[in-house]
Amino acid sequence: MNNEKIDLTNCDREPIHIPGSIQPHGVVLAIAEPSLKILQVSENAAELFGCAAADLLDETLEKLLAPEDVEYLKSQILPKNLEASPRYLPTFRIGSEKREFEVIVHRYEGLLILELEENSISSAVPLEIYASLKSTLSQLEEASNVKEFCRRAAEEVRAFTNFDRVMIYRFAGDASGEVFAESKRDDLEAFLGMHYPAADIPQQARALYIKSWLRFKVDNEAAPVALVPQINPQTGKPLDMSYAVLRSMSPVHTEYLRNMGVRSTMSISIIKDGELWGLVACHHYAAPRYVAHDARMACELLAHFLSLQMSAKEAMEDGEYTLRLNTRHAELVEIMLESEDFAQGLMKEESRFLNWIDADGVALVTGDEINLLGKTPNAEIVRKITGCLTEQVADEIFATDNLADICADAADCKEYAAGLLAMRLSIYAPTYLLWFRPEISQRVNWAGEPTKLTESSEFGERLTPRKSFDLWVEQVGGKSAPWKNCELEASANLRRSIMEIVVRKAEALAKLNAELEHSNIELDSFAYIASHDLKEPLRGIHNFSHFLIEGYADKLEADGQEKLQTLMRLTQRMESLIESLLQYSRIGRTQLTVSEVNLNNLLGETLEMMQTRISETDVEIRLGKNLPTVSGDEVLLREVFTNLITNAVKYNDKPKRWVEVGFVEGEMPTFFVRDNGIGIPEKNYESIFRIFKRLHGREAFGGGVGAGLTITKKIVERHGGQIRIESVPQEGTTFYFTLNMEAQTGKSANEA
Amino acid sequence: MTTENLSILIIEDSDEDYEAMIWALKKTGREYALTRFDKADNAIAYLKINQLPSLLLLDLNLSGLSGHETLKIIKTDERLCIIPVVIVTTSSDPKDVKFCFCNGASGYINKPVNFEKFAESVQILTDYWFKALVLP
Repeated sequence: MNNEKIDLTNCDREPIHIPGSIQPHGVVLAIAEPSLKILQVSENAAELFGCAAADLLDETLEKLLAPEDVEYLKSQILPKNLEASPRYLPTFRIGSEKREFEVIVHRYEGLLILELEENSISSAVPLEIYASLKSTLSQLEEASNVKEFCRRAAEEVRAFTNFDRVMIYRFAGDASGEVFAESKRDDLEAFLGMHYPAADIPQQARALYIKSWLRFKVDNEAAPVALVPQINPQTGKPLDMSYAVLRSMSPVHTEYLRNMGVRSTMSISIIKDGELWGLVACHHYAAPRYVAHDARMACELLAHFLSLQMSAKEAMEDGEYTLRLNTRHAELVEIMLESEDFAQGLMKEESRFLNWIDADGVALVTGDEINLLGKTPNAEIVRKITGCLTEQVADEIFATDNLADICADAADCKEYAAGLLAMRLSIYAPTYLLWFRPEISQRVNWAGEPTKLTESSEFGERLTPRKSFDLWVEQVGGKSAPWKNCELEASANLRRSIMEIVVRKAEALAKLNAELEHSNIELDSFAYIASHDLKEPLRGIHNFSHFLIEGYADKLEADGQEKLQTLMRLTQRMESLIESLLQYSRIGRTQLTVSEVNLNNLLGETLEMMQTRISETDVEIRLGKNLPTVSGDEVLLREVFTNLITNAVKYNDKPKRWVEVGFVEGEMPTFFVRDNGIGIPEKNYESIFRIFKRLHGREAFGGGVGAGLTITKKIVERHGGQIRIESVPQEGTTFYFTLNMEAQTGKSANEA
Repeated sequence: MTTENLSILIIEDSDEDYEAMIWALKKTGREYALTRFDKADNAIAYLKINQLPSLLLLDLNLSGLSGHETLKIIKTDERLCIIPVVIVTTSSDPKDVKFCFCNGASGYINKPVNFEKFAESVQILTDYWFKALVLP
């Protein structure tokens, strides 16, 4: 790539674990085993040991160390597992001057690596360290939150080491970092809250920090000393000093520290769940600072303790919120169980649903239906969001603090919906619960402008550590507050509960269906009972009344005969009621016999059948254009026209009556039967469809049981259509109806 | 015309309906030889060993063997299938009507709650069967 951006990340490629040189305050020896032959040594051996490096090569350790130290190494230390794990040893005295050296030993890649550091400070502190370490640890344990926990740790490390500044540096998800806690000399400017770009600690350095927990640079201004020879004769490679504390640091890092004014530095990794959570970072400004092994061990122990306790402290911090989430979870579950379905339950308790989690808006998407509460994007955008989720996200719970990342269409809504927590409820349909969080615009204090890391020179853009650490404030927007782990766990729990409720409701529904089917069967047998068993005694009453009138005419007075006539009329009326009820229930129950029906022919036949009645009442039948052919049950459709025309003829008091039958063309034809009859007041538009409801006296307008319109409506509805009325009292009525058998067939196919 | 030619077998489990039938038949002005059974299986047993009637009036809703089953048995029996069977029933269900005609019924009349109408139906029925037609 030609236009590769040059920034500090280019030093990602620098092989920092094989610098070939070390810091000058100590000596490194690379030794073969079991011969203990010295294969490599740093050039400063002459200066520190009084013994030239060249003289040590190919000699054994016996030449350098006191016999008891060699014996101690051989018997006590070398049998132990030292692979990639440095071990602090007691002080060795070396050379004719018997200078004191602190010793660290480890094995790596088949070599024994011995580091000897000259202790340049008197060990006045050590004894106090062990005494205070114990109380430190218990104090740390008491710290109620992570910040306080880290602040105390920083104080302790500073007390052990006398560094000018000790910071607890925390990495963010993007590997940039923040000074999270700080302990410093009073006269120094505070770094607390400052952010540092990811490039300040290159990627391969972060990887190394997970392996090797402690880095220490005694004097940034001291020139490194080389190892001789550079290539290890046994491995044929430069010495890998990943685990060596004396390793010299990269020139880039040296320049970086110099720019920052740092003379001496130590950093210890804080590892949480195998990830680099942060660092204990120490700075000393005025002079070099050596940290003796015992203080170093105490600091390492503290960092280790921080690492172990961090998860627990973080979890504790969210404890109260988690408790609240759990309580609300229980409330929501209760509401959902009481409701017909979970969605209805949630929408019923708007505020509980919305405030379940820290969010400003919530959307409930079930298939095509979208319900919104609080501050959310509009339905159209929500639809797009679920579309993106369906395409890109397989997880049941998904959270982001930057919604625009997954759905660009939502970018305009970031003011109130920058963060999204999505809960997927079905793998078949886009059913989601979505919580939205508003954007938080926050000031980030950068130590130096993070984007300006290069400088121009005669060689073009040159990668260089930045020189300025002046406060540089960035306004960061577009993101919401991050979703916490406890919120994600609570969402997973809520999702589980909803799924359980859905299953439970489905089971209840299946049971209800079975009961319904059972009661339908009972209704069938009721209809049969009504048809036969109820009518039989009725017929008996009627017939025997008749026999009485006929056979006992001479013994009955006119009054008695009249009463028997009334009895007979009533039984007949009751029979028509039963018969209508039966017919009505039969329309609901029985399968339609669907065929293509030419309504024009059907209307003709209907009018033919009604001929007597039409001529008797002298009503004019007005027909418009030919009716179309539709699919439906011919017998039932005939019933519709018969009922509507009969009513039109019947409820008419005009001297010149007319009935018009026609249809309005459209996507679906709307049929109508219009008359100039007595009309229907608007308040009765619904009640006239009720069975046995009559608006007029039993004998007025030729009587009737009042089931015709009820049956008509039921037939229309079974054909997927609708029926409605338009009427002006005294002037006339129009019944409009539609037939949509296709939709109806589709529907029953789905139901099946 | 002798009564022997006008033999009618009636399968009807309701005494009242049977009485109404007698009453209506009386009104037709003819005399009939009536044999009544209130259970269909008894009627079939009787038919197996006796002379066949000129006409059989069959109710559909019967306790025990139903009218539907009875019709099927008669119409699938080599000897009995010749008997004209007219259904006399309360049911006006189109399904019943269809079933009966498909299974060999010669007629289907309703028992309405209106004796005059019923008597009229019976009048027409007997006129048709005993005046107009040649019977087997």
